Amino acid sequence: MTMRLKEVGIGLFVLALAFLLLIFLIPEGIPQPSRLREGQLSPRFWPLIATSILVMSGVVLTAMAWFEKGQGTPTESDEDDEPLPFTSAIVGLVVGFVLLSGYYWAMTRLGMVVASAVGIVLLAYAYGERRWQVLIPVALLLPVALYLFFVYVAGIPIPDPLARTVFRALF
Amino acid sequence: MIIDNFAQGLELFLSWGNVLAILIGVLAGIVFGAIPGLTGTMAVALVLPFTFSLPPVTGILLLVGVYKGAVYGGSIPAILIKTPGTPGGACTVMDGYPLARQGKAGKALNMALYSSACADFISNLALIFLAGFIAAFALRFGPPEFFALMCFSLTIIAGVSGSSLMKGLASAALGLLLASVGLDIIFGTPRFAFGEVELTAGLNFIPILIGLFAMPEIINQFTKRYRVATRIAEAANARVSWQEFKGSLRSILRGSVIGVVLGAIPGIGGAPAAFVSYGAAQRASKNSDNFGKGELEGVAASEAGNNGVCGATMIPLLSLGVPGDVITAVILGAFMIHGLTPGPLLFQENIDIVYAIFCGILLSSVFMVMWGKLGIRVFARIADIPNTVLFPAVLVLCVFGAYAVNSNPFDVLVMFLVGILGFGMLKANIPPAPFLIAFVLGPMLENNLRRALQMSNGDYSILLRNEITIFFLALTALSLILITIRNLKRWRRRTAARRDDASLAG
Repeated sequence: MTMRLKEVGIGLFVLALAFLLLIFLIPEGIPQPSRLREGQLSPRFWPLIATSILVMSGVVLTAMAWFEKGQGTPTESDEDDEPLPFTSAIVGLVVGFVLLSGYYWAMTRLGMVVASAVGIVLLAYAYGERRWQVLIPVALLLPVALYLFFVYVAGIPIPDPLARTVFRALF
Repeated sequence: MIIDNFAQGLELFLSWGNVLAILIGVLAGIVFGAIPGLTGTMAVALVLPFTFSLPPVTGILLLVGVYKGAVYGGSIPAILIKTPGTPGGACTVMDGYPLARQGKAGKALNMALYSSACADFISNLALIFLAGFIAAFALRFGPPEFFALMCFSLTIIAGVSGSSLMKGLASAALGLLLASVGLDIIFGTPRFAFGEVELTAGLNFIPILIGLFAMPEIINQFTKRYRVATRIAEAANARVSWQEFKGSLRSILRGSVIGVVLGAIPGIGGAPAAFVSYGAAQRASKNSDNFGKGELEGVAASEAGNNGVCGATMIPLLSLGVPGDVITAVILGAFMIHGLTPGPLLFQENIDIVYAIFCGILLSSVFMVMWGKLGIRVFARIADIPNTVLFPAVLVLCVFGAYAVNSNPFDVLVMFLVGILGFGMLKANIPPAPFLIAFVLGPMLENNLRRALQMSNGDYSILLRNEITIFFLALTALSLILITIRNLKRWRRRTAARRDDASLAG
């Protein structure tokens, strides 16, 4: 995809989002009180202003990308790591989304310490880390240290049945 | 008179207990501030019960130490892992993290420390010497004045939009829309809640902040192949030279003044002060094009604005008994627990206590530098950890931090979803900073505009009711004109360059 097409796509996406807001999200998501007289006091007033800004920027972005030759925002990269080829990057993203969704699922069912320990190992492995002597201690120590800090120092309850049982027995 | 008061205060202050309280308080504050999700408010509220058994001055100094430490501490993860520990640290991300990526984490941390300590000290001096004058000015701020000030603050969006103002505006509009989720402030009706109870409560700032800055980097790492970093040796770049500090001094002083003025106005807080200070520094700097790409002056300006607020929020508290934000509201509670009522009477009946607190507050800036210098040696090493280990660890930290805000997994979900949005923005080159600024300032702008119009029965002339509103609205108009001229010039330059390229190719 050329830079020009990408920029046109961004502009059209912004416009589509603005129309989705105007047609569906604002009318359905913001009920208008029946006793209202002044428009600027309406709960819809501010979201409509924000949507107008979206419409304006969407139109200008699309027009600039369409009419200006060679238009495009240069990508500013200071990355240490080498970008993967397009197909591999898409596969990487799919793996990433599966892992993050799995982490959230495990966190709400198994507890935050267990899910985090497994999450660190899987994520680091997916990133290409193979030094198990570094990975395992980090995966074990960090979630436990955070659990102890949040529960016993900050007084914030962290849901994890296993960690709670273990640490209640210890302390 | 003031010297006598100081002498009395110093006599009361000089005890190991008071010095230790401020020393421990600043350290505890830095630790809490450095952990994303744990805010200064949380830290102060947690320490409050420990002060019940302490003498009044010791207890209040412990809380003040925690407050100041937490405000500075927020800059540490902002610079190192692109995850601001506190809302005020969000602005520091813009230049702090690029500096860390360039192998200059130590330099950025040092600059953040020096500018924080300077601004904090200036703010303390303003509290001691100008409290009455500033409190009288701050009291003149009603909804129209707030609205005018917020309008001016939002003009910074143009400065942080990078090479495309339109993308910056789109980003800001998204921020405004997300900020409007929740209950309408006037009618109490839901907005964009769609029957979900959790959405009715609105979206918390912390998961948005973490999702917007840290999560996109974590997701983006899945699209890269890891290779050993080729960053410049950290040790050579850790120190801030006198020349570098002098180059940022004007921005530090300007940011401190902005922090003092905004901090004294109840309800504003550190984040807007940091953004206004950053915007002012960018407008005045010779290196304005480098802002957002790793400019040391940017770190200095945002931290000066953020920390300049600290002493100033105590101004309405001590002189009028009005807490400027949630943290000072907790400190007000501590005063009352000890049988003291902040306000004019406190200065008449307990002047020794007030000045003992002033002595401790001045010392807190010194302890901030001390703990900061000790910590930077350790913290700076975090930037050397390879991304393959660092990012999973940061993710876990973010999950714990987002969860801790309301003890609700919904906030973690919000963080993940905003992370996906942020990743899309990263790939489309849409800058996240305007989103964040609009998310912070948007509700203040909207609420104050609607309150002002409610006061005037819909008459817009209330927005020009005095010199404060006229001043800020005129500044806003001037900024908009300058932004338009600058963008037109940039567009003409770009078009001319392309025409030259085309004629050369032809």
